[in-house]
Parts: sequence; C-alpha cells; structure tokens
Amino acid sequence: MKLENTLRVERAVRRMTQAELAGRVDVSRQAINAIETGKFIPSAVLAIKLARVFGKPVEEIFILSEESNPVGVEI
Amino acid sequence: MALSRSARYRAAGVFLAITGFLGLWVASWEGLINVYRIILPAYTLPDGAYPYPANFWDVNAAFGIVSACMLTIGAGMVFLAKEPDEYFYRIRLEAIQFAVIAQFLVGLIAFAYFYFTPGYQMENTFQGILGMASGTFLVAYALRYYAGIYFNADQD
Repeated sequence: MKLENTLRVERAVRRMTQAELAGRVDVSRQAINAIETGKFIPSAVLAIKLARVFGKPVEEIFILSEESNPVGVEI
Repeated sequence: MALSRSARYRAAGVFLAITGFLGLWVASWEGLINVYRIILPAYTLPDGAYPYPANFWDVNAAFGIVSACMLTIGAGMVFLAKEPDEYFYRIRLEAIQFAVIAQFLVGLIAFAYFYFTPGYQMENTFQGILGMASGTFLVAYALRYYAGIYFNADQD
C-alpha cells in the first residue's frame, strides 16, 4: 500500500511555491518538499491543514493506493 | 534573517560544544603551555626553553574538566532544542538512530582491533575507545542531520 498525494499538482494550479504553502500551514519548506516527494507522511493535523489550504477533503489530497508509485510512501 | 528562539538556543549549544571540544583537545595535548608562553614571556630561558610552572598540571586539569562540562552542556542544549516542525523531529530521530549504530560499530571495531593485535596491552585503552565512539556519535549525528535537511530537500 502506498500513500500518494496531489500537493505538487494543487500548488501548480494555484501557482504557489513550497515556501508559501509551508508558511500557510506553519511548517518548514523542507517538510513540504519531503511530503511531496513521498519521503515523509504528515500527521493527521498537518494533512487536514494542507487540505484546508486547497479547500478540498483530505482524501482528495492524500490517496491510499494499492498500486506501486515511485512518489508514494510505502506503509 | 533573524533566528528563532529555539534556533538561537541550538546555535549557543553548538558554539558551547565546539568550544568545549577545542578546550579538551588543547588540554589533552598540554597546549596551555603555549598560553603561558604568551602571557608570561619573562619566564622563557635564554636557550628558548620554557619550564612548566609549578601549578601547570592543576590548571591544565581544571581547564580539561571545564571544557568537558562545556562540551556536555552544549551537546545537551543541541538535543533539547525545539525543532521547527514534525519533519525535523523525524530527521532528528533518524540521525540519532544512525549515530548510535555508527558509535557502536566504531567502538566494536576499535576494541576488536586492539584486542586482536598481538602483544598489545589493553589497559588504559578503554577510555580512548569510549572517547572515539562518543566523538563518532556527535560527528555522525551532525552529518546525518544536516544531510537530511540540506541535501535531501531540493527546492522546486
């Protein structure tokens, strides 16, 4: 199972940098980068905060997938 | 860019630890005699030699102990400093795990090396092995921590 996310896409749609998104949810730019590249699974609180920034449900931003994806985090 | 309070606390800890390490290094090599040469040049003999003052070893021992305390307190401050977010806490955890394994391996290899060297007397070697292993922990932690933050986090 892998946890994928659409953060990079959502950011690109809104022309938002990693630093700007990080500032909106009060974390470091490195944390956003690690989440996007699948190196780090955020806590539930941070996932909800990120989803709120994009005005979408958490499940639309973070997707639990059965298929293997190089960007997803194996859980 | 202004540093946050926790970053300043950590920076003070790093400064204290490095200063303590340098002090310990100087004390280990009797480097204080060169300080004596500078502040009390009148005691230099005509041939250029400089006799050790009567209280040299007491001062050197006190200097070494104070330096070791500074190193310990500085390292403690680094590990007690708050991290900016949950990702940094994970990097810290990974760095500690990495450093503990590195420390154990270096200690084990050093011990095996001396133990299996024919004719070598192990007495008085344990302190050196423990010191080297502790140093390995600090170096491995710093390398792993900063590698995680600066080299594995490309910006888009």
